[in-house]
Amino acid sequence: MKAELTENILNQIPDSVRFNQDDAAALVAHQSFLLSLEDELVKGFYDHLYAHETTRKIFTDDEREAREKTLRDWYQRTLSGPFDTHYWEWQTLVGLVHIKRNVNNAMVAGMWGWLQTFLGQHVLEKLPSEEALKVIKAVHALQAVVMALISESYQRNMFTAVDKAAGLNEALLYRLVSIEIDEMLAQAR
Amino acid sequence: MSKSEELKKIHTELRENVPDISGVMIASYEGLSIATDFPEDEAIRIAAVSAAASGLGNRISGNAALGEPEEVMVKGKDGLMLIYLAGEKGVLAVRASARGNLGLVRLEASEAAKEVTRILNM
Ligand code: HEM
Repeated sequence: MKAELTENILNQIPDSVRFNQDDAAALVAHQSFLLSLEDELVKGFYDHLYAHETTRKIFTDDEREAREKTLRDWYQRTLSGPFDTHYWEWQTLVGLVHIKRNVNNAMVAGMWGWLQTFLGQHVLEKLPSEEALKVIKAVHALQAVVMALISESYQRNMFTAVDKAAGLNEALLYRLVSIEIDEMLAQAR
Repeated sequence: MSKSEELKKIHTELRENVPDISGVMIASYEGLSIATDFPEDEAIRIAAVSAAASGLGNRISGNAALGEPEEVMVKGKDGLMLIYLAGEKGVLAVRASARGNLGLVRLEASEAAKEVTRILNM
């Protein structure tokens, strides 16, 4: 995964709201409490995905154990930091791994919503409210960065692939899309 | 003469020298119209699809080992469109009558494309 692509996407988010050192510190400071939620988090996450027909179809019959393991590994690595370029590049790669398995952005965004609520409820119950809010903010900022990396890298990788395959450069693709969007907007208004 | 005047001149000369040509489009490789006599509402799309056709033509000639791409032709019942790469930065597309003198159209248009390349590279 190209480091520049990841860096470029991160730089689209204003510094002042992007996941920062304070967010990293909040997650690491409450690492042991957050890790105590791991079993429930992993079970809840996949219970939802397996209970819904569209997401259930993504998985093969014998896959649940392996998927739970990847989520556990991800959760543990995330709570340990560091949130360096290597970590963000990995998140971009996770996005591509998902695309390869037909996991789309709607599914991932939906599960991020669940994850945020799950963690939010637990930290509000157990941590002093000031600390709980720091963790909640960190999880929100993390979600925003990861979704940004996944969705933007998908679009840009797709543009690169179309250019390679069909010779339509990125600027031209934007132009073609923009012409059609103008028309869709004109029709919608 | 400015670049845009030079491009306009190429385009006027093409129309004057080849009566079978009924439209000329000089566009950037990003699909923006630079000089044309297509009506404005058609020109936006023609510029974009001409750039797209030249890009695709480029890939087809690469994949099928045709050598340096020279021309992309789209032929319909009522007319045809010839699209030429004008260097790295542009394309030249001409619309001609299906029953016209195709040899002359191609000769003049491919010469004009070389001129467009020279001007865009200046
Ligand atoms: C918060 C959202 C999610 C996170 C953080 C997440 C995390 C991960 C991670 C870390 C991996 C391993 C990637 C690697 O090989 O390095 C993975 C793989 C996978 N995930 Fe997710 N995931 C999320 C949402 C989903 C959803 C919504 C689905 C299905 C509907 C899904 C299905 C899969 C599948 C099938 C794989 C295995 C891909 C393969 O290796 O074949 N994930 N996920």
